Amino acid sequence: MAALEDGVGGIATASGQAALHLAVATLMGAGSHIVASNAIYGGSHNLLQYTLPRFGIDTTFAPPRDLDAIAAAIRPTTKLIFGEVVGNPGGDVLDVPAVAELAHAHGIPLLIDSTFTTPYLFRPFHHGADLIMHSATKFLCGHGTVIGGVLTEHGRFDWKASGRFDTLAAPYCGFHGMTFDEESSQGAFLLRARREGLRDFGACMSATTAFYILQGLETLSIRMQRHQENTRKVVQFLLESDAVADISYPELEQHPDHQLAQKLLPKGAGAVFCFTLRGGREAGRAFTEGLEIFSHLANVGDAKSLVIHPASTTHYRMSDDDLLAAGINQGTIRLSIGLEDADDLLEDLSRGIHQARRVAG
Amino acid sequence: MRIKLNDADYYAYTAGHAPRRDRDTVVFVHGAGMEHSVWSHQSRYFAYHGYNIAALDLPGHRLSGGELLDDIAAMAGWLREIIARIGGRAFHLVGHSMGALVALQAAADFAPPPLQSLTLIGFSYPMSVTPRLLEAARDDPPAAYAMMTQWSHASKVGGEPVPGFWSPGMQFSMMRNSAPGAIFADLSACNAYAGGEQALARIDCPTLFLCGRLDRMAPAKSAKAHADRHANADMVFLPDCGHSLLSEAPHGVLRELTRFIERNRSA
Repeated sequence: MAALEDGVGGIATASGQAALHLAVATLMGAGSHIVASNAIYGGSHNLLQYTLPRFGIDTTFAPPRDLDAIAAAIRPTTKLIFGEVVGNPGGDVLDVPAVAELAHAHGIPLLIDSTFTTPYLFRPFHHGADLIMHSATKFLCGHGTVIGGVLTEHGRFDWKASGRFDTLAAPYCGFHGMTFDEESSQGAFLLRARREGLRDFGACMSATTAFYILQGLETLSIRMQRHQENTRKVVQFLLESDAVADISYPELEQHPDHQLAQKLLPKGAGAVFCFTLRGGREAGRAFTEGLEIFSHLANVGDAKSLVIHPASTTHYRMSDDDLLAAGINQGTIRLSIGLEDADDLLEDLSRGIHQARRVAG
Repeated sequence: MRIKLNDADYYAYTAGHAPRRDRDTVVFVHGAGMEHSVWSHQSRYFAYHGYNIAALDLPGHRLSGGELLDDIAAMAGWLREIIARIGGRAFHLVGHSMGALVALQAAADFAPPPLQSLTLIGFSYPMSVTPRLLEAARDDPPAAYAMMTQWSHASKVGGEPVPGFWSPGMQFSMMRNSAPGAIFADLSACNAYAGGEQALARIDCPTLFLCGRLDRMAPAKSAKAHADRHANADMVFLPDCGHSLLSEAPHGVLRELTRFIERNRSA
């Protein structure tokens, strides 16, 4: 993974969430602060919003398109800026070079969750990121068979010069007084993450899981090509359907991040996106239940195509207003496009749309 | 450890241990564009096994102040003065690539306290540098970093011996983070160095030539030829690694260093 990302090294973790937790725990303790995009994976949001504050680490969320809001959120105690390359559910594309420049101007590292794009579509280190995390459960493994995570370091961030990182630039009593920034000038973060975080928290990857993920990596490039080709065909199909009210996919000209996506993601914007069906919650439910090839699952990045209708499943407890605040409509559907024959997928989607139309009248 | 010399402040990694006068001191000298942490897989071991260590940052490199030097003899002169300020019962000099030239030149003019051993890793003499690489180092350093990283590693993907670190990435990052002009100054020094034959002739301490069998930057046959002419030399080839053997074969390098330095430890 370090080679694919062009970094100095990496750590395999028990899950993507374990990778995020390891990054945070390595960089900071109680009294620290994080600035995060508000368009991130729900599990990451929960960790930052609800769990870490119990341990004295607060997070300010900012819209990924609003650099001024990100800058305004930075405090003297801020030790990390965090975002995803392509967010959910709106497909928000993070301007990684601009956010990296902002972060570095304040002596803060930028951590990018690159799960949806993988190194095949986007290499965050080439655009200024300092740390990258992946949920390897998704495209890296590629088959939805194991849970894992990966954390990589670029080697460029000067932890000592920043002045914010005693965990890396001051002697650590828990490991023979080691000063990680002197011990490994290029991989200080990884060194502490391994020697403290993996040791003390124990969220390491099993050997069997590593085997499956390595096997997945061997076919990453050709799988991502196929994911991308299929996704473009599906997006075009949905675009031409009068049952679809809206599609949030950055490759479409009407998407607010279209130009940024063209610049940062020339190979493609990935295989996960949302669209909104006309007909509301019942149409969404009927569409999802009418599909036969798409698997009804909350996962993404599988060889199989996956579908979820948030309003009737993952977010069904939320009020209509809360759904809208989260960028989710009653008819919003999330798809993760797999590796099947594209014509079979389009035929299946036709089946789902037919069911949705019957309900919507 | 910070060392003051001629109004400049230099850095030596000691693994957090202050040097003791009753111990041998192992001094590590890095190669072109590198810095002290290139020795991290070897230096720390000695610090925890009865030795003083000093893994240096040469002038103008990483945590050391001072001006960059583009002359091996000047670097060797600096090294001798630094060693005199570190202290120890006796010394073992270990150099890699350009650092091997510096260690060799320093050893040839070494003054008491005694030099117990000299280890030249990834050594060749002459250490000529191809004009293409020198020009890149001057005009397009990232291109030079890429060339050196590629040429320094035996071709292989995966199977990194150090968990979690990717040797080519580490090497490239070290050069990318080096001071402006460092790589050109260092490579120019290697290319211009003409004192190797005379220095080798003056070395009388035990000397280990340690080479990667697949080294393309400093071909092992050069070291072999010099070792064959040296009365007190060990010649060791490590298989399946190139010029970056400190990270390509960290365990093999440590094994050979331990064997050799232990054998030549002062009484």
